[in-house]
Amino acid sequence: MDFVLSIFMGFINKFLGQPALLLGSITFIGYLFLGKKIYEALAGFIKAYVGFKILQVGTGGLVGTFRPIITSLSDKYGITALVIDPYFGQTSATETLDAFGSLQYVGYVMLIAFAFNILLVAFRKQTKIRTLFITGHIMYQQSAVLLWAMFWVLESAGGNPASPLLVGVIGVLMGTYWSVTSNLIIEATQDVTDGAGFTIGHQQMFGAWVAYKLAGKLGNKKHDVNHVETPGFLSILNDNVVANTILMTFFVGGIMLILGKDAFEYNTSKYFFSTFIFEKTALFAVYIAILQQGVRMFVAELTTSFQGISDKLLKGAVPAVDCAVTFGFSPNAPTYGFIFGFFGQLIAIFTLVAIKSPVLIIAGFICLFFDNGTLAVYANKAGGRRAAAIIPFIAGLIQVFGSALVLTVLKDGPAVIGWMGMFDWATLWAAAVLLADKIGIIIPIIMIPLLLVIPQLQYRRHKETYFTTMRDEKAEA
Amino acid sequence: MIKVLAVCGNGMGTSLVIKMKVKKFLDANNIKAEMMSCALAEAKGYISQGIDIVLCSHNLAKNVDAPERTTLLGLKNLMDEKEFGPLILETVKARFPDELS
Repeated sequence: MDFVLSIFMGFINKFLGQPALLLGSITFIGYLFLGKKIYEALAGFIKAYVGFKILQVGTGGLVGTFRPIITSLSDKYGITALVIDPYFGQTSATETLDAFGSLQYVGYVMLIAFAFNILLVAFRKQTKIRTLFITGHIMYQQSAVLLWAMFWVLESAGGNPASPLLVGVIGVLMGTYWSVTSNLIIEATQDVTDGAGFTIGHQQMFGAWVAYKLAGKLGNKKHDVNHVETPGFLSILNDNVVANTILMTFFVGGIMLILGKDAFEYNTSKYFFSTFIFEKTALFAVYIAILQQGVRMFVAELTTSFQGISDKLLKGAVPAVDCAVTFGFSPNAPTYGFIFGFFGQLIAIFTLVAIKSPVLIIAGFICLFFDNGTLAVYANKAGGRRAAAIIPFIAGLIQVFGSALVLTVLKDGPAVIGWMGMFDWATLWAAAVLLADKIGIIIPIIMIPLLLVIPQLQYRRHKETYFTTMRDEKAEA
Repeated sequence: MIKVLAVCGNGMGTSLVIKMKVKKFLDANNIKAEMMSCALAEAKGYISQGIDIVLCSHNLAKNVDAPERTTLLGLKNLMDEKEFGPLILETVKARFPDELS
């Protein structure tokens, strides 16, 4: 008996406990389930495994580059500087969870969440959920960050890995959030995209919904931002490598200048201090590119299997996709969002400095461009260019202050370099983590039924047309 | 065999969605194609190695440098086969008639 048990435990620890093997196996099983050939499934396994290992090279590099700067700033001035960008949030999450032997649970959270999303759509007559989340890179990222944040405030004090209860609760809560918020934004997305038949599965559905609802009161939808000419040089910011490097040189380079030459050990015969700073700040773009290459490799496999599963199980579900898919419908709005969001974030950052906040925020590219860009697209549709300027500006303030607040309880983790920063994460999730820190696991548990009430309220407002956005329902009618 | 590239800002979500949608369309129309996706920052590298059709969102189209041999299609609705389908068929008919069986 002991022998069987030890083989079983060995399998749990050395196979299912290894995140890369776990993700590879999920892909493998998913492909077989979809009726792919065994060699295709094997190729999927290998790419998911290798992709995950590449991803870890990127996250390790980001932490290795940024932690020494954070540490020396905090030793000298007692301030912790952290970046609000999803890849910095994701890195903090996976590296911290790994330190507690819990990284593999991210895969379980993601699977439970996806399964729960499928279940809610399958029972749509009761749940009123019409949407399925298939944005693989976001699903992995959010599962990691939510598990990390809740684990850190609820369980890390014991030094043990995350408990099965926590993993289960976070999985169901994550799936609820995906279902409810992407469902919430369907009608607004239909308006923004002239009825394109998809919805958003990203990081700011709640924010975009608020933007869309408020925008009409702030401006006139006839004054569309796409009638305005934007300066050409701004288009270089569309390039993630360029934008990441410029932002990091500005912010992190600024911090390194303040710390001064003596805070760093470098070969003075090889570098000026300025070229040393630039090499360090350009390394952020380097490691983010590596990290993304890894994510892309394993997510391409995962997304293909998710898409296949959704086509097979849920024919009518509205797919929830990446926010940038809406950008084509309003090409100028993302630039507006970027600029005004940046102003908002800068003002908020200077305010943090002025009030001597223990957490200093560094602006990140993805949050600025994709988050505020999306809010601007929705705001513009309902309130024109005035709304597309005001809302991202306010969102910029909220992103910085909300993230700074939640980071006050997360910053002491072993590998923390940032937080998501995106609107829903600076509001809804920041509040949830802070409350859970004060009150306990009851907070994530109670959020599940509370969120599930939202689609019921939506349904009451237009019962007749509610399900017509779904593909099969339309065909039946 | 034609080479098709989907491009988006970060190369993570959107280009992957276009890639899956377009691949499905090409298969359904019996057009043999190699389908790739990448971030805007990498597009130049891919294109220089010989890409026949580049697909991306309207707002990025002006950032993509396409040489003469590459057809650049800027799309409004990346998810809509009715928009990209005719554009792709037209391009293939005009430039790669042998690929249509």
